[in-house]
Amino acid sequence: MARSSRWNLPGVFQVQRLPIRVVLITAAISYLLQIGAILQGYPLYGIVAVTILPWILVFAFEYIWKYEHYGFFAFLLAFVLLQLGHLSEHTVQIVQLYASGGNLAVSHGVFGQLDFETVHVVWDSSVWLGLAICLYKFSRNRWLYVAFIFASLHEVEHLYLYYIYNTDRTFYLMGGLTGVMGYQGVIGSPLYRPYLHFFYNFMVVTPMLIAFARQTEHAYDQFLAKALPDLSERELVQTTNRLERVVAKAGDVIVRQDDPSDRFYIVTKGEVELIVSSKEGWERTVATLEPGRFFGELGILTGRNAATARAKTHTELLALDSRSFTELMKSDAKVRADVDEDMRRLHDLKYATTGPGPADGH
Amino acid sequence: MKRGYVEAAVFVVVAIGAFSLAYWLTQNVGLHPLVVPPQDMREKHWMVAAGAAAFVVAVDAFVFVLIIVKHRRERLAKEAGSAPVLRG
Repeated sequence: MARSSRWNLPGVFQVQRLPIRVVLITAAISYLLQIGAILQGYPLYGIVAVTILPWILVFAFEYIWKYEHYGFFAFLLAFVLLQLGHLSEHTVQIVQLYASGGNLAVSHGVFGQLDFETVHVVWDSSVWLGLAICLYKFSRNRWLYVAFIFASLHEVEHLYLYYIYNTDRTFYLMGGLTGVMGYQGVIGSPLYRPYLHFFYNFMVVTPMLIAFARQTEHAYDQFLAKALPDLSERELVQTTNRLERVVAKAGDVIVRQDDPSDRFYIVTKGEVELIVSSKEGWERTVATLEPGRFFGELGILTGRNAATARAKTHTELLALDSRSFTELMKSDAKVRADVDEDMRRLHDLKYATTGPGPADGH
Repeated sequence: MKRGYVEAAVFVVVAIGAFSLAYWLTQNVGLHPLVVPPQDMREKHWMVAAGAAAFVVAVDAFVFVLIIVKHRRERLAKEAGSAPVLRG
């Protein structure tokens, strides 16, 4: 049975699905590929591409896990990271311009092959529409409105540029590429195009980051909310940061009956059987728990596990230490009622099992 | 409330900083080649810019209407006390 490591970060920022050794191996492969690409004399975009490549799978696995647990908040997280990458590309271009004395021919960022109007309009339209979706989902977050307004201004610029690029290439090449707000553009400003677009991106990314920081305070694990639906949002967020991911293979015993109990578990993937054994030596499965169901609460309250919990399939769980669970029970009467209800159900099942004896000869 | 002011201050400082940097680079580093459209050609496409702005404003307005409807639905559900209030 594997337990994930715990760092002092909110749950959503931790690497939760993949073991830390996988992350370290990926880092080593990425580093080796980077060294290899430099020694082989790859261009800058090639070096960056091979460095990023091994991380794509890691991010995909981790992202799926985060989406399952944090819902749409995971989309916001990925979106902010992508937009930070985009701002980095503009920053690299600014540095190249500075280093080359403003020579645009050698200043196209890392992935210079993608520096043309179609790519710009597709990316910025995605940012604009992505922000619209985030705004709808998190419509109480004021900073998303600020980011959306700046993304809209940026979108006007790129729609204009894309149109003239495709319909009047002569004008585009004779200076039309400066756009609406660029120096000597339709409206105009003191900024040349690359510097203006660097500024635009800063104005989108900064409120996005503030909005993301705010939204992090509302992010909690969906399975915790499903298991204990009466927790307040504040309790859900606080408790989420204390959860630890536990993985069990089919057949693994997660807790054993009558052993000292120290954890409360929520099933998030797979199935867990609760098995009660009698002094006479027979045992019976009293419940099969599916994602969103929990166990271990009776053990915490009595000090000993009431049943053996065994993974029926490959299973993932969230574990909460007994102290945090007890605090939660003390602070919230509704949670106590939820847990009491579940304990009563388990007690009835156990009584039904141990009372008349096993009917099916286990 | 206090936190809101701090965030707003951070945003204003970053905005001024980013604009100042962009302006400084324009003035001191420049851009080569710098191709600027002649006055008559520049005015030729103002309708395209206006069209792009109108399209973006229309989409933004649609998004805001959806948000208003969503908030109204949430408020009505809360008043009725029946449907769950959306979190987050």
